[in-house]
Amino acid sequence: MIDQVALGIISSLPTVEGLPRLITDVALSFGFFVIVAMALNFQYGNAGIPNMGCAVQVIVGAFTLSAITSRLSYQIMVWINVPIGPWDTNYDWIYGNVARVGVVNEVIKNNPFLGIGLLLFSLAVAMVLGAILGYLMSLPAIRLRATYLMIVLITVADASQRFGFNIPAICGGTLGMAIPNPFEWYPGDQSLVVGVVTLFIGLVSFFVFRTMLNSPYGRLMRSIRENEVTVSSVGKNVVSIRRNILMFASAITAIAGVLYATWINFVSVSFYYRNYWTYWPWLMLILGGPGNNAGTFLGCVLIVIFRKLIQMYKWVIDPYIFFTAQILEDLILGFLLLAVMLFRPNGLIPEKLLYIPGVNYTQLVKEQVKVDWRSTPKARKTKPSSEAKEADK
Amino acid sequence: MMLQNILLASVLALLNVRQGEGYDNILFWVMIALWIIMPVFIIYEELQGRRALAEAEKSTDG
Repeated sequence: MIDQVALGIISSLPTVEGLPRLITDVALSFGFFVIVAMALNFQYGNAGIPNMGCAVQVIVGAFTLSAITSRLSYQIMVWINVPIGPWDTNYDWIYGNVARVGVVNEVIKNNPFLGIGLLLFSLAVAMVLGAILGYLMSLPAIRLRATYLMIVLITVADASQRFGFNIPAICGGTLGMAIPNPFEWYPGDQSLVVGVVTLFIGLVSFFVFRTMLNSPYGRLMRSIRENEVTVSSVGKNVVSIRRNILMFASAITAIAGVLYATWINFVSVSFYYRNYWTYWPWLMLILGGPGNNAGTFLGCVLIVIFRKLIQMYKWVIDPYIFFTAQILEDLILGFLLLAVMLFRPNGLIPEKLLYIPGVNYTQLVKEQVKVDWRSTPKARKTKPSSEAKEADK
Repeated sequence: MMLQNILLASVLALLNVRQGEGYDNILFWVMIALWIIMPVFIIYEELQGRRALAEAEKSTDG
């Protein structure tokens, strides 16, 4: 009886068509962007590093799949004696790509563990390469002030696209290339598996960022954001801390690149333009409110839904506007950025004061008080400014 | 025992579906659940933080 009820419940759930299909697409976009936006919030919202090079961190994940995982999968085919054709020259690498990927997908269809292994390998390598990239990006620029750091990171992001376009061995140059599908073994809608994996990784990265921000390291990051000279004066290596932050966030952002490429099963440099992977996440962060996860989440949800609506209905409003609807999305991006900066610079959910049990930050901010940090949190008492002054005397 | 039966029935249902439609439904709802967990936790934490700050401020004023 219960078995039949359970079967009935499972079979009565709506199928993934129509509205559920749209929800899946929105969830996938949300999953990719929430990873990037949270990493950006970690860098800019909490540590004050204005990373305008998110696109290059994402593209590293995609390049990992096209340049490393693809080659590994072809080599595995050679090891298990599956005929796959040559891929030594640029010509073979680009023009034989679709046929080779088809062969690999056929093997993955019967060997789910090969697909899962390739995905895990890609994620791990992308994280390592992302961290290395973060380190390299920080070398010339981390000592610079915010404006110059921003310019250097934009330049690095553009340079990565030039590399991708002009070196066919990375991702097939301007043509792009197909990549093996690690979920080929799944008989149904494979985008759902990508959606579950993406949202799960997004959830895990949220908890990782949250734990780091609530730790003493998170408070150190905020103090660097507020006044790095003061932090340096008490013996902290600000350059090293900022470099570590950039490396960590870069590694997490690269995961989004892997997942996005896995979703579309194709890597082309033109999918990783700056406005898509840098400016939209920035708008999400600024709209929601930098420095808090709730704001990042809200900004991400609003922008993803808003973009989906524009994509769906821009052809409806096309006859009523004097320019082509294709540029509507970018126009609205610029307009929204300006509007938020002018009318709501702290975002929809402004950053709140830190709450740490035993320390009254509200009082600390309002007036100068003396905190006995040596005592336990419960016994810790704050003295008003007049008492503090007397105690100092 | 009841829980075991439901789990067994679900697994059997999964194994018996050849075309993957059954998997799709389950994955869809797993995805929605994952999507909901994050905002629920964020809102809960945000409210708790703001409430604690408000209480601390009230105790200061008092």
